[in-house]
Amino acid sequence: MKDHLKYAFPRSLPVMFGYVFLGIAFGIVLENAGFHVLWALGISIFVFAGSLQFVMVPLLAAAVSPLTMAATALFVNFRHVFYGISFVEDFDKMKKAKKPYMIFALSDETYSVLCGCKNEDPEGVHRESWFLISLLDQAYWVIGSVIGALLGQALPFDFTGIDFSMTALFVVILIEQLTNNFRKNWVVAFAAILITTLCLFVFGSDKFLLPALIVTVLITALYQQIGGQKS
Amino acid sequence: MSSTLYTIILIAIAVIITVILRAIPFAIFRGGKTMPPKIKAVADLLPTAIIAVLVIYCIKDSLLAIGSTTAASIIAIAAVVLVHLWKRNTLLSIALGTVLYMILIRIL
Repeated sequence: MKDHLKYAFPRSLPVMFGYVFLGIAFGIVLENAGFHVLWALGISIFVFAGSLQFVMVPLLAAAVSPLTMAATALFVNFRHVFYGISFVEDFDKMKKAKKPYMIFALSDETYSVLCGCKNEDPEGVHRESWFLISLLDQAYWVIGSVIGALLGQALPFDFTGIDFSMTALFVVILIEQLTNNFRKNWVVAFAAILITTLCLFVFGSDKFLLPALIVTVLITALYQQIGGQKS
Repeated sequence: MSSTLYTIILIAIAVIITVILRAIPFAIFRGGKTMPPKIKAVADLLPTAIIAVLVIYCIKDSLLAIGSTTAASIIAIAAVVLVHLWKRNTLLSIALGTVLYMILIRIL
């Protein structure tokens, strides 16, 4: 346990700062929408998906249909389908009891930390410690959202605008993606921004996310088929 | 149905979908099956596209009603981009951008 902690804690530190901060923002946003701290606790324990949690707050507040929630969850989190691919073999080599949680807890940030771990330790000597990394990451997120939900109630400070932290998070992830493989990625990023903006004005604020995601996925697949094959 | 129960059902749906999505590759590629290269190539591009959609989703209200919030969003996003390209520190970029945005919507 001590060895696991010695390995996992320093590697989870960057996530700690990000998750506590974003978790606080989520707790405040949720609290402002009329949900008290227990909701923040429950959602952060069971959903544990940063972007979806932010996106679902107005959906919960508006008590949307189950289908809308399912479709939103499907499309907002669809990218997670591709995360596990990097870890199919690794998670299989871990203790059986750990595997379900490793899959459950594979968030954007934990995914990137584990990619780093795999990169520096290809033999997987420290693989069993990954469980603690995932657990610590989620703990930061849960603690942050509870603090946020409590602060939102207790402090007289006006937190309007703190939800920009989600925008900033996505912008940062997008930059990381773009610098990774600029030539191909900028085309799909640019197309996605154009399509989504168009859908926003055509379908309106409440209904544009789904058509925007569908068209974007189709265009991305099409681009890969005709234009992206060369590189 | 009480609104509490309904909210719990909505959350449960989000949980189930999220878990299924995260588990799909483990279900498909068990036992050393490999991905068709065509699917893999699209899979590599999708995260960028989807995150770009989410950026617009985040600023939808400031795009629909052009005004001081639009300016605040654009300036703060530009700041996040510049700070992140410069320092490559996720937390710093997010914190600075958010604080800047919160100041801007109050003074603009």
